[in-house]
Amino acid sequence: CKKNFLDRQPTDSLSNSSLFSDSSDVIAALNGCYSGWSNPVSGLQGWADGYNVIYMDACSDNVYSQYPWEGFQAYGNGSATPGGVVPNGNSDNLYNYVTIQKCNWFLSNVTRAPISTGLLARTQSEARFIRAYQYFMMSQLYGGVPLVTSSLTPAQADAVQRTTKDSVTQFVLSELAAIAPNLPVAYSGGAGSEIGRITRGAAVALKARIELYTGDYADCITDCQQVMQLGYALYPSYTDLFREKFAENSEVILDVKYIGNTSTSNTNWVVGVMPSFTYGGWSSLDPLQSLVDAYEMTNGKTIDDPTSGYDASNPFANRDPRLAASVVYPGEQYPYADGSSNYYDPLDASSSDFYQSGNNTSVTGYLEKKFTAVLSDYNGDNGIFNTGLSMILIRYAEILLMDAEAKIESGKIDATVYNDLNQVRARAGMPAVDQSVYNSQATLRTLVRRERRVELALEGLRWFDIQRWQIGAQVMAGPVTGARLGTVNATTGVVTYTGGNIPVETRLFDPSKNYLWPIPQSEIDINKQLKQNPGY
Amino acid sequence: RPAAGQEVLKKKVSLVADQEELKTVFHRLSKEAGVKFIYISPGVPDQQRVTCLAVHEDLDVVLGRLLGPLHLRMEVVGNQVILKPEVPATVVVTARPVHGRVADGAGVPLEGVSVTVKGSNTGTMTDAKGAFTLDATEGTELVISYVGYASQTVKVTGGEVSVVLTKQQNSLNEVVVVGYGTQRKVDLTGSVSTVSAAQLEDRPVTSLGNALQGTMPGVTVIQNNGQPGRDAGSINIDGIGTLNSTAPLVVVDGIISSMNEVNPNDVESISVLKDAASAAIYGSRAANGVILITTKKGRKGASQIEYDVYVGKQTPTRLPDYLPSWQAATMYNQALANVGSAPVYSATDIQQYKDGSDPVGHPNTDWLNLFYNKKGLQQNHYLGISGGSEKTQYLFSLGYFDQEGNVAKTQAQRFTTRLNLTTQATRNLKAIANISYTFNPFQEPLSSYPGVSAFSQMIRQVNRISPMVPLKWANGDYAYIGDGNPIAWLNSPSLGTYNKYLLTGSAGLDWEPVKDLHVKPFVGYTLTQDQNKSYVADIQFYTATGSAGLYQGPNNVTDKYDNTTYVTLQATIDYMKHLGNHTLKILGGYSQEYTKYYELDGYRQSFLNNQLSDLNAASTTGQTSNGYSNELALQSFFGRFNYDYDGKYLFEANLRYDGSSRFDTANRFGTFPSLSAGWRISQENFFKPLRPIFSELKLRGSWGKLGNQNITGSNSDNTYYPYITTVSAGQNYVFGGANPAFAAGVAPINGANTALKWETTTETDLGLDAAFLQEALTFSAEYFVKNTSNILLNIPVSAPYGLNTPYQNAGAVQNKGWEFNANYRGRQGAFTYNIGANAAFIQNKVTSLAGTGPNISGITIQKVGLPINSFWGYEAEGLFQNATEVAKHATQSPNTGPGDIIYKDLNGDGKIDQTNDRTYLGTYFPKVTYGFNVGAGWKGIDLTAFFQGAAGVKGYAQGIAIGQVGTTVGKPTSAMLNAWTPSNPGASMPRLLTTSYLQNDPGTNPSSFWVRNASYLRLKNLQLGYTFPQGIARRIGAQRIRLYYSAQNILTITSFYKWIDPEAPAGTAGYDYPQIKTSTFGLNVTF
Repeated sequence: CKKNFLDRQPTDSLSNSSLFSDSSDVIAALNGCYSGWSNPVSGLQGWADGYNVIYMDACSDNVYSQYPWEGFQAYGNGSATPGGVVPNGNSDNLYNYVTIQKCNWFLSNVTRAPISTGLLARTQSEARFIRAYQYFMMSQLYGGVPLVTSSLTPAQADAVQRTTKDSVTQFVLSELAAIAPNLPVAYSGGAGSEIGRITRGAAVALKARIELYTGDYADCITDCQQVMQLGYALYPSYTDLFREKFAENSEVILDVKYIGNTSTSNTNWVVGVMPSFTYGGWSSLDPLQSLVDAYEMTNGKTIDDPTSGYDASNPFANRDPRLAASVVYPGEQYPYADGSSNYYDPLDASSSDFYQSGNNTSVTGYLEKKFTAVLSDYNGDNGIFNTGLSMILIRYAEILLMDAEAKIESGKIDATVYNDLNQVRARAGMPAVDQSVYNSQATLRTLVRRERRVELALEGLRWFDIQRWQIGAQVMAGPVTGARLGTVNATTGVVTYTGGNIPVETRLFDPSKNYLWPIPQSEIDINKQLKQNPGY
Repeated sequence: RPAAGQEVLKKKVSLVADQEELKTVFHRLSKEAGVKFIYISPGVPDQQRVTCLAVHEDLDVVLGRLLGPLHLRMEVVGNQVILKPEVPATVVVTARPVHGRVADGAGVPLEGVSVTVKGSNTGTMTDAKGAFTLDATEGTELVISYVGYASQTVKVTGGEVSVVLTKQQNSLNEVVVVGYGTQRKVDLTGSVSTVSAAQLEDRPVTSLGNALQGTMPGVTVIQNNGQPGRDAGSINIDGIGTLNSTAPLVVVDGIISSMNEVNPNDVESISVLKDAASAAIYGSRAANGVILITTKKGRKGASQIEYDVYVGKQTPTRLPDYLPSWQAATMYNQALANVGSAPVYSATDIQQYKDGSDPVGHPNTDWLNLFYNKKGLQQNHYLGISGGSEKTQYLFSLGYFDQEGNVAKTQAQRFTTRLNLTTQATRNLKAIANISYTFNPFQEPLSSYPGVSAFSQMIRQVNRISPMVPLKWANGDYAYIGDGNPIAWLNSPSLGTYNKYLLTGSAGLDWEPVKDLHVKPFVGYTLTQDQNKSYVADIQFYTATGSAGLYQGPNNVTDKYDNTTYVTLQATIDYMKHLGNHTLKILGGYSQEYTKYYELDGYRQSFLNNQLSDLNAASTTGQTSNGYSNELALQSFFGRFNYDYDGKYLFEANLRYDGSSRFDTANRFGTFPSLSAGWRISQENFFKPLRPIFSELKLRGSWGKLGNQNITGSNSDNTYYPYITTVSAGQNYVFGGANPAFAAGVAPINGANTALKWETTTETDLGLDAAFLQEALTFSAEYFVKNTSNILLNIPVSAPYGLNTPYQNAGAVQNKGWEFNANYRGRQGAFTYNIGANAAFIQNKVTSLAGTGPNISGITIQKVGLPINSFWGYEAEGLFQNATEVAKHATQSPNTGPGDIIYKDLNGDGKIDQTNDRTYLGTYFPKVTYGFNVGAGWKGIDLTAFFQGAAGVKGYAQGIAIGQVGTTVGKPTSAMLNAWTPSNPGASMPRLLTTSYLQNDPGTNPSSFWVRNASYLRLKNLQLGYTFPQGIARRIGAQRIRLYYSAQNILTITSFYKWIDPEAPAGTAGYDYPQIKTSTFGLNVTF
């Protein structure tokens, strides 16, 4: 018998030693860092993913996640437990080092490659950004997490300790500062181009976001100003900004890319969770009344202002246009994918969208609309579970709002603050800020916080605002509701209200524990060094 | 003759000789009978090998049997027997064919019975139906002899010869197939169970594995799906030995294969090697036990043609008893009331559901009836032709099996053919070649549900869609719920077709260069190909008003082709030596196995319409393809030593040295020894007085170690190359602006472990075999302890590792238990009967998880000290009766109210949480499995009933399998009629709740409330047959004609839910095709 009869090598995988021989190897290995991890349910995800963009609002007072098995409901109502992380639910991928491991591997090997110093610096910077983004997200959700920057053995991994949140944040900020100069401002070109790679704007914008979150307002303002010099602009249509066909528009600073109409990998199927049964979706994420109430009237007044003209029996008239662009409400004419039309009716028992039917219908009477405003974008093969919608992670409007907020918080209230806010409002079709009303730090603080909530609604940022503003006890506790009960006239869409708001659930919020998520119990079980967050 | 001579010849002797030299046999007889044999060699061929079996028979009878075929005659002088060559007789009468049939006392035909014309060298063997034909002259005598039965002599009269042999020795004298050879059952020192073809015959089983259910103690077959093509049961031997795959090794005629590819009609015998000592010779693969299947071989004599056929139909054993729509509506209202909501259905609605006056608006759709509406016809044909000359024997067979399911488009077929050849090429060289081919296609409908096209999804939706949803709207379009409409899917062109092609060939030699030294090289080859195609049609649903509603698409096809090549080379050398009362046997061998798997699949979508389904007919946009291969190589050296003293003391030792390509060089080989010994107490002199009642008693014991290197899982790199660090391709991302495109990426995905080594199973086994009342009653019992350690496990690693966890040697499992088997045969005149029973009591527990765990997965847990995958959840303490009780009890959930399940606060902290209040709730692995059979025969009529069951087993059903309430999704079962209400405080079910209230849900909040006793007793098979008198058979030129009715699974007694089969998978949630019962009529004809 042959001596090597038992020596068998895989024929579909590479060995480490044969890689990094030229620039194409380097790019392939870098693309591997972008590819993220493979979810057993939803297939390959990107380095960040659409799930967590839209589901994160279910952890806030904006949205109710109606299916516990999707993994986010418990974070919204305060019932999350260390052992209660839903396996294969959407949230269980957030305490995850797959992408970090890939970046660590890339960074420890790329220096072997015979490539130009420019390409080396750029590719290293992309990988360092992706790694920094993971640490940013994890430290926001869990507080301090083990900071791992090289490959570990199973035994080492099972004994790592948590690094403090401050140290993780400092690491992320210093990484972002270091890599920004090495990254290009933009990638050009059409199909097959490299648009979607990390840019300098992304690095600086993320840095600004973290500085705002940590209250480092001076640096935040500096970074926002730097981004403003990079050529970004608000996209004229608030609705179209979020449509697949207008991807990579002038407002987008950082997004995660998908491709539609493919079998399983890299499609953004999470779009399908938003529309209701009648529109071919699941109604997984249902907006709450609290979000709807946050939108101003078109005259710039809030609905609780007696002079605003708000009519409780016609609540959706004369509201901030961003409400209709973000939420489907009872009686709204919301076209099907084939273009035929219908008045959305979650209120009548005979309707197939009845809020109590238990058949993939919204239980709050509202649907998310931001990413599904024009369902005909997803008609035919390219259906709502098979889309190529890029999910925006950072866009220019947030830079403007961050600049304004940082200045308000640091007491530097000048014309640029109003200019930032007015740019955002004007694009949405709202009047300029009434400077006679909003003339103090306190009133402007209220305004910028509301403006952030409605402008960035359903984009996964609300929870981080609640966290840093420490307003959980005010906004996250107690009963939450949906739309008012009544009947929808099927031919006119006119709603006749006959009852109170739909009760959805009663939430609990304990400020001593609920600002952080629990470390999954399975991790604590394996690694005895890992300390649980307080209260869990 | 002198009187002394007569006495000598009437001495009772016992003799067991299996291919022993005549000289040795005479030596033993002379000792036993106290006579002296005198003969002159070479006139008497004293080195001729003979086989003879006798227990307490007259010496002359024994000698007659022994000497007849050798043409020797004897004379007795005093106590001396003089042997001489017979004077050749002159043939004066022409011989002509004589037909006959041999059966045992129960009327069961005996196969392989030797029939010789007394005083000549003409002889033949009976076939599987007990029939024989040979040329003999009228007036001569036929000697009919068979191992274990008393021989008979019959005079040839010209008519048909019909012989009933009575059992003389028990089945302990059977020859049993063991690893790389055969052994007589009396000589076994390990734990081996056998099943013969007769026990499996004529049962309408769809696969051989399922036929084994309940036939042997300790061999647990669980069949939890009745879908054609997917109904293969899982087999466990002596418990669940590992946390890995527990499937035993299956060896068909020396080649590793699978139970389900063998045509049950082709099988001659099955041996199951249960303990480590007997399985040790298959060390590298044997940790879960070994099933050795021997196929039928041709026999010397005239050609036999056998034709078997059966046709029948099947129906589900149990289907969920969902309630009609008016009750579903009423109960939904009740659930709404329970959660504080207003009712949705008015009294008028409910009346309309009840009277059917509005069939579209208020229908009562019986979805199950629309779904399970096919007859489920099943047919099986088998044609076997066998025979052979003195030197060459052959068997050729053709089989066709066709099973249609009860759902349209479900079907499985099996086409088999086999040719087995044996030839004595030269005096000392025998060649054996077998070739078989199986084509095994099956198909099933597929669903258009996005991302989950599996047929199980369709079953789930059928069990889920409410009777209040119409099949079609008034305009004729299919109605639908959020997930679609299962009947629309069923009637669409979606189809999964799975073709399996299996070619198996082997060739071997048996060369005896020196007397008693056998050299046996062997080569085996199998080629398995799968061609699987899943075509999923797209469906546009329309609303009741005709608008385009739900779209499920695009239509797409996945075409998958894979191919497994397996080549094994083996060689053994064995040698046997008798030294007086000592018998020594040694065997040495080498084996290598090489497996290569190759897979290629392509996916395309967006066909123009749903008429074509080949890849080329679809758009290339969005197409994907995958391809990979993997290899596995095993290399083994092994040896066996047997020692036997006078048939009383038996000893065996095995040693095996195995290497696997799955391990790194340093850990590649493992050494696995075993020892076993037996003592046949009944052969001792002191036991002689007991023999009339107590004819056999043997004690045996064994100890051994076995290795396992098999790692199962879907990740090929991890399971085939677990020690090699790799970088995976396919880690792609998307770049580009408005028209993005894939960008190829690579990254490390799989963790590797260079320290990985063999998993080891150590088993100790003690057994006792006994026979009573002239072998009419046999009994065996054994006790075993089996410890598996260093289990190859994919234990979790802390997240910062960032790679798919590598396999590690972690964890240990223990199984121990008792096994019993007893059989009795009797007769009253023409009425014969037999009864048999077996039972196994097995306990299993996880003894180590290498410091990790417990691993909780849904309703089950892996935890040290508990059985593998035990149920894990809250301890239910009944139902809350009022709000005061709720308030006084530990906090469960904010929604808890009267009628909800009370969970025990195990840690007493005043709140119920999953971390602290869950506990062990039982296991779904049966504590006891048993089977028993009764058979009776009377003048050609035979009746057998075979029962099988399990006790001490828990079942768990959840979700739609239990029933839900809803408007369009979820439907209640009859059990929910007994839901809690204030006026029904003693209810068996908690109060009805809408589906978003999960406090009682068996999936979200597992509790003992939902753990049910799933013990059962099943009439697995009932057969009533009639064998026509031979006169009638011969009129159409047949030797034997038997007509029978056979039914499978016809009766099940259980306290589990009356609509869920007790063998349904643990945690069944309504996704499973039901278990089926089958009734068939069959015919066996032998020409």
